[in-house]
Amino acid sequence: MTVAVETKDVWKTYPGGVRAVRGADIRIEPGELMVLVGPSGCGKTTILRMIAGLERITAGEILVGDRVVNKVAPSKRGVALVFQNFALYPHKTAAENIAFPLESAGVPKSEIQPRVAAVAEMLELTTQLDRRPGELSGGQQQRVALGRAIVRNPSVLLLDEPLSNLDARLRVVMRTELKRIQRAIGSTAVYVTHDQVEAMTMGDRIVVMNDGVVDQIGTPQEVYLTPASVAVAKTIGSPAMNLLAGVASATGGAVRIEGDEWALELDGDGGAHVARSLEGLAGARVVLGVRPVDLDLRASAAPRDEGGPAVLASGTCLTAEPLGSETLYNVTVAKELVRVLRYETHVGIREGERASVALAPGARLHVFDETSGKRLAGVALQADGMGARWRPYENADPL
Amino acid sequence: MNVDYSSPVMRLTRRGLLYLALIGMSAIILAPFYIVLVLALSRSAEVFAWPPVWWPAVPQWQNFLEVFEVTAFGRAMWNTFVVASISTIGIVIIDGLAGYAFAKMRFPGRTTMFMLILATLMVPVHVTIIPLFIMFRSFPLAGGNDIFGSGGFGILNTYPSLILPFLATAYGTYLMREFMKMLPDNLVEAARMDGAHEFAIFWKIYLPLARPALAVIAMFNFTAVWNEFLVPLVMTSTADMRVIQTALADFADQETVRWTLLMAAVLISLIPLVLMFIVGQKHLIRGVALSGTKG
Repeated sequence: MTVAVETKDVWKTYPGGVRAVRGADIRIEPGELMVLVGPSGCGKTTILRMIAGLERITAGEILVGDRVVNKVAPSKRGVALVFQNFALYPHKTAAENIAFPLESAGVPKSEIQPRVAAVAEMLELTTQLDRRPGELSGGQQQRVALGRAIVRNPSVLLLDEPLSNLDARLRVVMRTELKRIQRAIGSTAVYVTHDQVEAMTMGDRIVVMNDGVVDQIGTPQEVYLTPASVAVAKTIGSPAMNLLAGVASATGGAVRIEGDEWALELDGDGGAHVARSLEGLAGARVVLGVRPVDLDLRASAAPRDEGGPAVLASGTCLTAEPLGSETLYNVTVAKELVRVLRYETHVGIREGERASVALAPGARLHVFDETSGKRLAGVALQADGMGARWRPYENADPL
Repeated sequence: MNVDYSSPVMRLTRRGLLYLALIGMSAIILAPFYIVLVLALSRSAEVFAWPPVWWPAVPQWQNFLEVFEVTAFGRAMWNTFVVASISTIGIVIIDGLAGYAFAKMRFPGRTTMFMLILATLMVPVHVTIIPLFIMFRSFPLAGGNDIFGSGGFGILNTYPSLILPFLATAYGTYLMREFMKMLPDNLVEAARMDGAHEFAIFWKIYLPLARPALAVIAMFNFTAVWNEFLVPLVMTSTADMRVIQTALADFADQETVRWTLLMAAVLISLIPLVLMFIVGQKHLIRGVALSGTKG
């Protein structure tokens, strides 16, 4: 088996014309835990339901293993689904819930009991088997739902926001637990979530979706470090990436990007790299993306700092939110709100004070086309003996 | 929560008045049963005595036995039991299936069809009874009928003529649909993923969950058929096909009504219903509460 699940140019149009999924091409390798992430209504659950067979596809092909399953009944696809609200049968005990798929498949009773027991043991449910879902905690219900899904040994396990009904503490525990179980049973898993932390921590790879379109597929590091579009940049990373609209102009090998009360000079190899990517771009309107962690905050009395590669803009510190080990500063620059995340608990800037927003050493910048939202180039700030220099930065190379 | 700051005297008075009202209402509801019991145990002479007899001097318990000797009341009770039981089983299955289909399945014309079924609630039985009679009389190849339904009596004077009119109800379908709609949709999908076929989803998942609603329908229907008079009167004419309500008429002829026996028969006919309500009241209360229905 070369591939566990594949969607080939899959489309879904609902009656009434709503296009939930537009041309999704996703390849999921055997044994992989693939996370589909994106905002509500981006089509991620629709894709999952189409793989499950609960939703008909409008166009394209879905393969499970090497078999096209477009017209195969859900139970015959070798996939199992864990529902967001668990969908346990309320009148059946935990054991009966787990046994139900085996009973439906006509497995002999003598075989059902040991298989249910084995699953219950793996999920630490042995003492809860006689209870009905109403008598179980959220975490236990979730385990039963998982047990019902894995008892048939499905080749692909589909999980639809399985942690969203649990409280925050339990969610963290179950995250690790789910990953452990997936590794233990060796199934391929497709996991849908809107929570980017879940996506980053659980996924071997991540599919970032927006508005029915697959924006990017890659490892958590790849999508975090080199987001393919503005939409991906907004979805992945917390706090979210700062996205500042500006106009780029190339002079010689350097590029100057200027926005509302901020400006940035990109020189060195990095400047040339950005200049090349801007060729043919009408109007040169770009969006500059920089993560809060790549910014620094300095006290500044002057209304506008003197420039230099490390200073981006100056503004007023609106709020400082202590998060424990770090502090999130919200700084207003013109009409934009720029987020700065610093690990120092005290930068010396209080709410209401003027401050300069500077680029932290090693900062990564992402330049996007404002019209299409697509990534144009990435540069990283490199400190050497001669001062700061920009260098091209692609392929998620760790700095 | 409201805290009662009124004085103990006020509270006691209020409680006393409440109990008085409840006792009064209970008396009004129980009075007919008391009268029926007194008459059932009276001698004929005591029935119209003035002043009324509050309790017979010598209770005539043998009246209850005489009911079965004078008429074929036992046979009528059996007939009623058969008809009510079979129609109740039919209603649970048919209305359950229909309610499930209307609530959980998608098919063209679903709403229109449901509206049509609901519309039949507005048609009184008196309008349909004659066409129903003609249909049953013209039932092909039954009761001496030829294939075109003429020549004999069809299925008149048979159990089917008493059961078929009550085998499915619009009301039951409506009740089941409303109840099924309250049950989560994704159990269908979960069961489908688990490999259950459509009928198994209904039978193993939704039907057990709909038990309170089914209990309500079953009890309402059993009571309704048990007390039905018009349909048996029209569809049957032979003595062996009497049901309770038509058999009660046997205690009266053109000149006299045998009140003591009639009242004894009425009491006997109530026993199965009372037992059923005692056994099923837990389900009934839950079902009525969940489906927001009153009898």
